[in-house]
Amino acid sequence: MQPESFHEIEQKLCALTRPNAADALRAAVLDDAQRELRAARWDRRLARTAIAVVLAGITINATVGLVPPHVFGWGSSSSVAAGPWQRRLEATAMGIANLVDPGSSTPSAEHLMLSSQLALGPNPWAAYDEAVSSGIWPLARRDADSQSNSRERVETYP
Amino acid sequence: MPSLGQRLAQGDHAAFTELYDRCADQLVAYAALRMGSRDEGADVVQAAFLRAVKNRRRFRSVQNPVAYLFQMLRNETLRAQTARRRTRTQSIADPNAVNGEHRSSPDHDTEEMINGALARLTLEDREIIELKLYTGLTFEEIADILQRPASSVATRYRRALDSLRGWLHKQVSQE
Repeated sequence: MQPESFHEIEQKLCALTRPNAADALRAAVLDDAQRELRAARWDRRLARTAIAVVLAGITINATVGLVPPHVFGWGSSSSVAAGPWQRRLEATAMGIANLVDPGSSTPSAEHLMLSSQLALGPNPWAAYDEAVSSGIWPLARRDADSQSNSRERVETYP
Repeated sequence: MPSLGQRLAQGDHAAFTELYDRCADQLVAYAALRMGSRDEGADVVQAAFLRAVKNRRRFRSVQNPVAYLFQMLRNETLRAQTARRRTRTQSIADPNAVNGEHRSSPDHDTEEMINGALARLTLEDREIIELKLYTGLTFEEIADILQRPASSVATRYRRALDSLRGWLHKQVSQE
């Protein structure tokens, strides 16, 4: 053999036997690729569904008034006291709490007063009553015949 | 019509099939040379291709998907060689170690001589020769893979061929 030029050397090198890709390898490689692409599609679908559920939940909460509107820049930060939906929910919750367990309703009253930025006194229920009678809490009213420390019925306006 | 790179980035399985069929033989040949055996070369090709599928979004910004795939294959062979060095003391790929049962060249003595000459090159020079002759990549693409200037790659290629020519000439003269 008398290699004389680069071209001849290149030809000799190219002529060396090198293994080709087997059909079995092709099947294995492309199966792996398909499996990976399929798994990625499912991941994307799950992520999109999760995002949609979270957004729907936030939207519903904002609509119901559980999330203060100013969080989304929809209203002024001072209007923390929410709209009619929230007041209705609060009054309903208070009524249920008092019916089920009057002893636990006091802390609930405290919570409501705090969340609505109303002053607390030594007797949260008294403060609550005062708020109701003075119209600060217009959508909940006591039965006129009930005693001050008995909560037999709390009516809510629609 | 989106380019192959765009289709790969979008996760089009047909695009990956097209990419594989375009360069499968060169991938296996290069990997077998790097790893010293056809079976290990096939394993590395499989691992590199799967890695390319997992990182498919990068194909969107790649000019030449084939060259990019070779870059991933090279990285995979380096990882495999490092892992192998940790487990055993065998030296890095010797072209003579490619599975002999697949060699069918009638001029076996010449092939042995050339392989012997190739083994005398530095690892990087041998890699440049292998990439240039067995993958069909340009000097610019090889330069991208090896992270070297294209002019340096071209120069080293010619010097490596010159060395091979000298060694082979000496071998023949001694016979």
